[in-house]
Amino acid sequence: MHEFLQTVLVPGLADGAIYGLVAVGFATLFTTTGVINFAHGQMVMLMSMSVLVAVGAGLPVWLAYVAALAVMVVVALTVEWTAVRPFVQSGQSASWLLSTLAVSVVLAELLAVPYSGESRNFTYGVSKHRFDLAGLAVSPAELTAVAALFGVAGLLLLFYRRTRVGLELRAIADDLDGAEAIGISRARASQIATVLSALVAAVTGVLVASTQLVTPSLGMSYTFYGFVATAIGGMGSIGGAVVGGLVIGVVSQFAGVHVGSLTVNLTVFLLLALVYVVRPHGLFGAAPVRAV
Amino acid sequence: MSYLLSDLSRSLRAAAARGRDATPAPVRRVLARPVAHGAAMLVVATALLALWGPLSYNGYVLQLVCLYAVATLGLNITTGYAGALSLGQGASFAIGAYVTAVLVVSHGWPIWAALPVAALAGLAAGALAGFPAGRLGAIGLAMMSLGLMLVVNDMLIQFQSVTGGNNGLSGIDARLWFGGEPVSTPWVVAIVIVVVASVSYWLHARYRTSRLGRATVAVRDEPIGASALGVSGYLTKVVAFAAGSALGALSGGLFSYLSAYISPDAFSSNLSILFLVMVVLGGSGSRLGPVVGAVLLVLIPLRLDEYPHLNNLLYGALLIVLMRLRPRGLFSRTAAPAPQALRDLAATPEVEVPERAPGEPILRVTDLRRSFGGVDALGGVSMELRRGEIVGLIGPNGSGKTTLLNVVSGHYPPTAGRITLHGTDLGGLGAAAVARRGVSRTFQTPKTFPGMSIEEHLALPAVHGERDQAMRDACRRGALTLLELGGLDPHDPAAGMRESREMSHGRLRFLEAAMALGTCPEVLLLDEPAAGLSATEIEGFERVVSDVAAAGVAVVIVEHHLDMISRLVDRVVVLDLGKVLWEGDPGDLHDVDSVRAAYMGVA
Repeated sequence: MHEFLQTVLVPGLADGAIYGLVAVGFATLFTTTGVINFAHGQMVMLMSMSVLVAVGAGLPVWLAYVAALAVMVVVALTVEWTAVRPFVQSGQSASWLLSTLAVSVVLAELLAVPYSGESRNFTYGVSKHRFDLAGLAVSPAELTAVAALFGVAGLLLLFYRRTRVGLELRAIADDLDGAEAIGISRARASQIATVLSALVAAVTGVLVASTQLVTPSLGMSYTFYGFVATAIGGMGSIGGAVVGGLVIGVVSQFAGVHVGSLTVNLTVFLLLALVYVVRPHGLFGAAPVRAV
Repeated sequence: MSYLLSDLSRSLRAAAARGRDATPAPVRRVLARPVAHGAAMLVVATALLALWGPLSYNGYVLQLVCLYAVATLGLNITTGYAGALSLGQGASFAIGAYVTAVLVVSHGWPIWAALPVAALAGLAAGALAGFPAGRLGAIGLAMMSLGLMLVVNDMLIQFQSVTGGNNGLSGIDARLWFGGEPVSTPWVVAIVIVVVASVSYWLHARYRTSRLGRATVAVRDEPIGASALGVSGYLTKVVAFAAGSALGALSGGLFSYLSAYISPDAFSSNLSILFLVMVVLGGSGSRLGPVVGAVLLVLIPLRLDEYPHLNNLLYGALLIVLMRLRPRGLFSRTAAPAPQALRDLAATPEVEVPERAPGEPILRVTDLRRSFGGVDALGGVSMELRRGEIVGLIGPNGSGKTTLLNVVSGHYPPTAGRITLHGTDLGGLGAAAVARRGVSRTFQTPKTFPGMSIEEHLALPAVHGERDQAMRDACRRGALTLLELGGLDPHDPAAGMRESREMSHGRLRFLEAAMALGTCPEVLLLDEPAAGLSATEIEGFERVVSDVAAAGVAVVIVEHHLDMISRLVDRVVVLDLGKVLWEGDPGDLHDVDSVRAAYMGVA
């Protein structure tokens, strides 16, 4: 039992928190714009890499973080303009799939430029030194990841329910034409949603870097894992993203420890197939009521 | 960039049109056939190969173009025809490459046996991935195929005793017999590549013009409209996935032979995206576009190979620009010919219209209920419809008229109650199954297929079950009249080749009604057919409906146009708040107090 807790549950929940955060990032953009950003995984890596490069260039760590956040916001707004806004609530999924995928290809290639795409150790985040907590060795980074997942999800839920801007974003999601008719700007809503999602990616990026080596080529895998979490939880559901992420984290960690590291992707893939066969709209998603 | 692209495609199209006009008709017909294109490709590629020699750099590039074209054509079936975005074509390519390599290196298989087995492996993988994915939307399919790509890459390393792991497999030589000596000339592989590419083009073009291909494109463009014609979507997607993946694997097998050495590095996820960009650049869903995309995206990157990173940045940037400025690619026309349908229709003889005389009841609806959440859109509707009868369904907005049509046509399952056609229960059947039993319909906004030609629209509906000849002729005659009313000359082949996305709303309404008659239905449901039509058009439409009813088709017509109702129908059913308020002769309608109250709020 202790073995299971230590080798599967603790690292699994920490990884799962990161997948959950990716899924929360998807949901943030999806609820407002109806777009899933295939480049989100690259945005996560962009944060880690930006901090690394900025520190490497001689900036103090706090300034490196500020610079990295600025990069994230600028890139997010560019992505929004090129690949998201033309397809807001358009229902043409093939179009935005391709446009955000294209952004992902460009970002992935840019990320491979510094350090020739090789893995790097990141020492400017939360400490990964493990300490003893009730008999289990856990690191502050792992605890922070789980706390960040619930914190970010909670803040976003409050934002959507309690603030005027949050309400406007939901209005755009529910009825684009109606919302525009009463003066809510589609462009602004889409920008806010994209920047919010990029900020979630920034938090995720710091946590990824704090818990493991920074490997720039992993962006696409984060996109995939985050999406499987989304599929389990239900599209656009923040609560579902939290649950889905944690489930995948533990299941994939179990497969990695007990079956072999090369079967992790396979396990997650089979999980996705299972979800689609058993519950195509996810745990918390609803099938559309009217189709015709 | 956008001007450049559209200029290019416009001048290409203009040149093609000039060429078309200058050739005599029989030659034109032969040239339009996919087999002619395939043969032309074979001749050109073989000539270039003979000129350069298979071992020269140019010869190598030519073979590379040909084998990439095969994978791209396959992806065009999946993504272009079926509209299912696949990020996994690279996975099929890798599967085909490794199956071929293992068969050749470890078992000494000949080229004519290894390649088909590779294609079969791709077919199986595609069917497996497409099977759960057939139920999903575009996003689910994209993710399943992305996942497959990641998994295949892992498995190449996991099973290293078979695949050689990171070291890969070398010595992939062409043999002519099991365990035979490798052939010494490079011509065998080169010719096989060129022939396979030409045959693949032909197969891929034939797929599009086949009945299955037409159904596939219809489901891509308008799944609900397709189901109303009896075309169900699930299988078209799975088959397209499997066929596309088979061609991807075949292409991978050719790649194995051409490189003679493969390792997992050659199959990164960027490969899938490269295939996708080839399809999108050329024109997703067009028949010639993917070939052009493959040619361009093999030739241009070779020039940039010396600069690291530039190629992938170029693919990504190109895809971004395409999606913003020309999302349908260089060859944006996706329609295919189906001249037989138009010819058949134009040859329909004049029919004698009998006297209208409603016969025995055929459709019976008993206490039908349908609720959406807490709203009872239908709160227990009972009615019956007789053969050859026209029933007008009227009522204020929100009274449940369209919902009644949607439930009867199988687009929504009923919450409770029974629908029977000739005594057999229709409740619980899907829309396509209901349509195949002889219930056809139109929609408030016409559901037609923007990327298909008019001819194809007319070729799509099929008659299921028994109909007497008089009824068939009447339906065909009706369809023909509707087309003429919509301003389409059935004797003009050029008109039949237009894509329906270029047509106005009013014409689409006539086209949709003509398709509904194309199934020669026993029951025809029309949802506000007169909306937006002129007085003359309405008059023509009424005559068609009356004629087919006289031949035995039972018609339900939802309409706000009360003059039309009183002229046309045998019986009126008034719905209010999901219940039948009144039923009777159209002449008595204006004298009923309850109907006046429902419509105008006065007693």
